[in-house]
Formats: sequence, C-alpha cells, structure tokens
Amino acid sequence: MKRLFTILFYAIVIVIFALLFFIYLQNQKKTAIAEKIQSLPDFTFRTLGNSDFSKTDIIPEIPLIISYFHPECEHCQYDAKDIVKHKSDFNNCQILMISTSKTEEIKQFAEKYNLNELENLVLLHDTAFVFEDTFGKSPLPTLLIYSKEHKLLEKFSGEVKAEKIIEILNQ
Amino acid sequence: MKPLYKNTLLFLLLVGLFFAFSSLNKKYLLTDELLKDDFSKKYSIERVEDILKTQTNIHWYSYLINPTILFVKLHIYTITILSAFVFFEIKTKYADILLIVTTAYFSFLLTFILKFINFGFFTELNSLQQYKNYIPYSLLFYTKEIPNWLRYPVFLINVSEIAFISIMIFSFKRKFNLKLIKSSVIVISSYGLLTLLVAVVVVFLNIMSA
Repeated sequence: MKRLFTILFYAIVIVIFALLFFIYLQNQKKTAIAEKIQSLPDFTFRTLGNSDFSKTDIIPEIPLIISYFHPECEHCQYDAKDIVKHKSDFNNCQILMISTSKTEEIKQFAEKYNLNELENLVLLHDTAFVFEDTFGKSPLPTLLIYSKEHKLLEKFSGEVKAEKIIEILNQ
Repeated sequence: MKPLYKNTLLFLLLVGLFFAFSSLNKKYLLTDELLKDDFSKKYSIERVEDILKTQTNIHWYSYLINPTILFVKLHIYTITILSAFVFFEIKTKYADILLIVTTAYFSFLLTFILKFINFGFFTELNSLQQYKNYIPYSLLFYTKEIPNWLRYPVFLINVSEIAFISIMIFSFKRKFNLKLIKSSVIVISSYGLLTLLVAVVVVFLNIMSA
C-alpha cells in the first residue's frame, strides 16, 4: 500500500511538471500571436466564388471588422441579426465574415440574415482551418475590430451587441 | 453521537449556510436590475432578457448540483488525506478525517460573508465585475494586471484557503497526537499536492481555451 502511494505521489509530481512545461510553451505561442495581431497580420482565405482573398484585397483607409462565425452557432446568428439591424452604422467600414463551414451553408446564412444588405461585406471560407493560427484562439463567435490604420482596437470572444462595436469604431 | 450522524448533520449545516448566504447575496446584491445593467453593456436588450430568463429557469438546478459538488469535493479531500495517513502508517478512521475536513470547510463561507458585509453596508455595488473582483481575502485582489490564465492560482492564495489548511493541520495534530510538523506534512503532501494539481490543470485548460 505504502509503495502504491509513493508511486502515485511521484506520478502526480511528474504530471504537474509536464503540464507546467506545456503551459510555458503554450504561453510563448499565445504571446507571439497576441503581439502579431496588434497590426493586421497577413492572411489568405477563399471567397465564396473560390478565389483567394488576402490582406492586399482589403479596402484601405477604413476600419475593418473581422468576424469568425459558424452558421449553426446561436450567438453568431444573434450577432449577424444585430449588425444588419444597424447596417447604416457600418457603411464606413469593411466587414469580413469568415467561417470554416461549407460554402453552401455560408451562402444560406447570408441569405437568411440578409447580410448582403451590408455595404462592404465579404464572406470568406477558411478552407485550410488557419484562422486560429493567424488570429489566435477564437471561440465562436470571435470579433476583431481594426482601426483604419489597421491597428487592433478590440478582440471580442463571444457575442457582442452592434452598439458596442459602433462605440469602439467611433472612439 | 455516531460519526455518521455527526458528519451528516455537519454537511447539512454547511450546505444550509452556503445556500443562505448565496441567497442573501442574490436577493440583495446581485439583483435582476444590476445584472440587466451589466449584461446590456455587451448584449442587446432582447438577449439580456433571454439570458435572465434562462438563468431563472436553471436557478433551481443549483439546489441539486451545488450540494452534490460539495459532497464529492469533501470526500475527495478526505480520501487524499487518508492516503497520506496510510503512507505514514498512522491508524485512523475515514469518518474522523471527514469530520475534520467538513468542519474546516466552513472557512470558505468567509467569501460570501465578506462580500455581503462590504456591499450590503459599506460600498455601493454598481456592476457584476465589481462583485467578482472584490476578493480582499485573496492575493488576486492586490495583484495588478495579471493575465487571465494566471488568475486562478493567484486567487487560490487566500485567507479561506489558509484557514482551511491551518484548521486541518491543528485538528489532526490534536486528534491523533501528532507533532505540528508531521501534521503539516500530512496535509501539505496530500491536500496541498491535490490543490496544486487542480491549479495546474485549470491553468492548462484556460490557456488551451483562451
């Protein structure tokens, strides 16, 4: 019995050290991404017409909103509805809505929530599942707001009302 | 009184007190008005109403879930400490350790009591964040600009936790006629190690998900 507890004790100590090492590595990676996204990083996603869309295709000199969503996510649906409800306030910025979902599902989502009523909206498909590698851990929905100089103003994980986004854009 | 009855009575008293204080906090501090004001900073009005409705619906489940979690927690602590007693070849009974662990756990009521006293009588409560951030009994309260993933282990260094450990150490010392150092080694090598493991796992999960 005593031997069993000794083994268990050392096993727990080893697990703690292994986890601490992993935490250290993850933290290094996280810090690097957090620094990288302070300015708009390079990226390439696919449009629904199946062509590449990268940083160079962004409209210059206006703020940029990047929304990472999934058509089936309830919070993403609320976000989409709320943004369309305040569409006129988003005329002076570009919105990229990116999803790993199938192209057809993204199209249906856009139709259902009238996303095409938004002036500078681009729907993109993350075919290679690289969004999180570029912008860090992104639970659904995640929203990044960049200034017209493409400096990060705010990153929201989870639902956020349109008024809050507008407030940040107007700061 | 038989140890089983003693433990059961003590457990019921503990659960009762936790419910009493959390209900007092909910009724007088975390009112629907406060939650509405707070949530509406991030969510639309319709969503805030949805959230509050869901909260009301699931509120009753807490009366079943919280005592269950507490019950499991107390028994895990007891098993962990018992294993240290076995390791040091000190004869003891499960019920005796459970009794001491349950008694010591009353120290965690301090969280609710301090919050209730502060926001009930001294400071005006304006937001949920203010309620969450008021932890003067924890090192976290005095640490500025700490990354989110590190909040839990820093929070763990608090008066309730220290009281819990101290009460256990002194109770084991008295009950089993141990030297203070031996009693401390038993508690720290068992409960301390378990707490450290939990803290590291929580940090690990936080850093993986955030």
